[in-house]
Amino acid sequence: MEVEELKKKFLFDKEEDNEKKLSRSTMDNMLEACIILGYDWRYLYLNDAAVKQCRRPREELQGKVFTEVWPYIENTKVFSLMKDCLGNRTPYSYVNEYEFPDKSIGWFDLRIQPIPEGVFILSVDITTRRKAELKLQESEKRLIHAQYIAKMGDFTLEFETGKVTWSESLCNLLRYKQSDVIDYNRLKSKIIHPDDLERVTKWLNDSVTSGKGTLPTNEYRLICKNKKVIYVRTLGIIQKKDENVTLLFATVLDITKQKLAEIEVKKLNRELEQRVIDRTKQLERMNNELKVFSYSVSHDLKAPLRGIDGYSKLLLEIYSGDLVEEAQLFIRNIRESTIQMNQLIEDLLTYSRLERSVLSMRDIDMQKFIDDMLNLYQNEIKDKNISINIDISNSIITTDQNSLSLALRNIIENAIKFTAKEENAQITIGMSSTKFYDTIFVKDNGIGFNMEYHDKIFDIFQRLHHVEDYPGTGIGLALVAKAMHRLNGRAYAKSEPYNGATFYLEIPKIPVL
Amino acid sequence: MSVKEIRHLIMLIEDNPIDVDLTVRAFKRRKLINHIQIVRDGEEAIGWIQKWKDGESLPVVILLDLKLPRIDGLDVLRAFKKENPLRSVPVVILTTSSDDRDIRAAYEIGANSYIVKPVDFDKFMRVAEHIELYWNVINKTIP
Repeated sequence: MEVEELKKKFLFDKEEDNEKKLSRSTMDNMLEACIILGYDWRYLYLNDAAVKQCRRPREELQGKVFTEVWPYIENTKVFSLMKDCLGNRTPYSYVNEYEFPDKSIGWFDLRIQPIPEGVFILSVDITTRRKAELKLQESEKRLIHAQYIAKMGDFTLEFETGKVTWSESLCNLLRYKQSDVIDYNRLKSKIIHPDDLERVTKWLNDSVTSGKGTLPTNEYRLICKNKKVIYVRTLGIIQKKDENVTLLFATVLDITKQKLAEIEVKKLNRELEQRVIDRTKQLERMNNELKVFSYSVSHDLKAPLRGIDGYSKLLLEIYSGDLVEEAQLFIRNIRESTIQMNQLIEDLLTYSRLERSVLSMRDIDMQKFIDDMLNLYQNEIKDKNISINIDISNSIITTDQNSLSLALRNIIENAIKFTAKEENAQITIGMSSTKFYDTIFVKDNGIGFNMEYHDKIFDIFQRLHHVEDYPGTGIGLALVAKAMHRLNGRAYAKSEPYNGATFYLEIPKIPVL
Repeated sequence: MSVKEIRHLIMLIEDNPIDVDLTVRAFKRRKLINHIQIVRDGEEAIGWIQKWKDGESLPVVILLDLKLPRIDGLDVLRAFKKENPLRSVPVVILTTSSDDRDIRAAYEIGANSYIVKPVDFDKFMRVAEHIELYWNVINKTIP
């Protein structure tokens, strides 16, 4: 209720004391605090609401001097207004913030009015409202801060009308004033990067027409007022304001840093890919050089060897009569070495050829395969009187025939070689299968080896015996291991010295691709 | 007519002097007395194309090494197989290389045989004998 009205209705008719009493009784029941101070600053009147607002008993107020009741009040703005009102009869409106002795703070909306008796003060306690306002301001401030820190903002867009409002933080982000931002349709070509405009427009249209409540995430470029281009990510919600108007509420997150990092990563990836290509080419070149090298080994090492062999042979044949026994022995040893070196070169070439050969998977009938293979050695088997046992049921293995053949040939040759000094040489060739592997084994009753060396024997140039006892180049089992490795299988052996050895070729059932 | 009087010509294109000497000896020891024309590099071999055109008699068989100085054996083969009637003279590749790619390339260009030179001299002599027997005696050339 307006003070003027109050005054008119209830107050200060000196002549009408009854009426004054009546108006005071009206004030008594009011929720607003009503106070009348006399020219001597004494409280002439306080209603209950006023007593309550003062947070002191009525006795400490009624009839007491205002400045004594409230020490230090004389230095305050509100006091100077009251004083001015008393003296110069000027009315004031003022929101007073007051700290009570218990340090709590109250806010009061004051109307200070001159009246014949002195000054009338109508005070409304607005503490609760003010606190709520402050809280709201605080949370708005926090939101702005949070958005500022997160480099984000938000906007509301009326889709059909193009009416758009940006949050303060979005304005900050894009360096626009809120007053610049009114009509999205006029603004869009200015703020959305030309390369992204079509896509953004389609995205908004599709999202609205989809009838779904969400605006799916999208990333695009915006142009700030200072022409700087930033990358943003937007997601939001879509609501119907009414039948004709759709509201889009969305956040805008500045992702420039991430985007630039992403672009950098992509660039680095491309460079890395290029480097891989370059390195692969380099490797291919080196690999080719290696192939040429092995060709040279074949050609250039063998030619002089042929000379040594040829001329030593001619020497023995033509001039053996002129040579003493020892000289003839020397020449035989030279020829022996030649043969060995030739074998070494052959084995090395096989080894390097194996590395480059292409696998070709096919079904192999193992029974026939092993029979054919043993045919190659039938003379040796007969000469050395070796008894051969084959224990292979009709089974088919799917694998690369060349690799398997190479591996098996070498372990059969080994079995023949290392049983050479046995009276009753026996070789058993068999096969077993599990869910994942076929395993072919070759078991002999030859000299065997110490299990300490079971791994070493598959390394290239590793020999366990003197060459004069058991000739060989030390490449055979390395070839076996390599061939099996190429099939994703493995070769291993079990043995005891002087108690025979068993070599296993484990071949995976799932063919290598 | 005694064997001695058959003056069939064998051409040996080979750069390695030891291989040349051993090959010649191998043929001699087998009492194969065919005349052997020795050519020491690819360029010289190509030069023979003109000589044949000028009337030199064609060999019955050409033994060709692959790894030759200046012009490679495969290039020599390619050049020979372009010329008529030279292309009908059988060319036997006699080389140390047992490389699959060399073998394939040689046959593709038109080699008639591919023999890997054995290191063992005994085997080498057997090879010489086979070459002589097959290309000079058994095989019938264009009359």
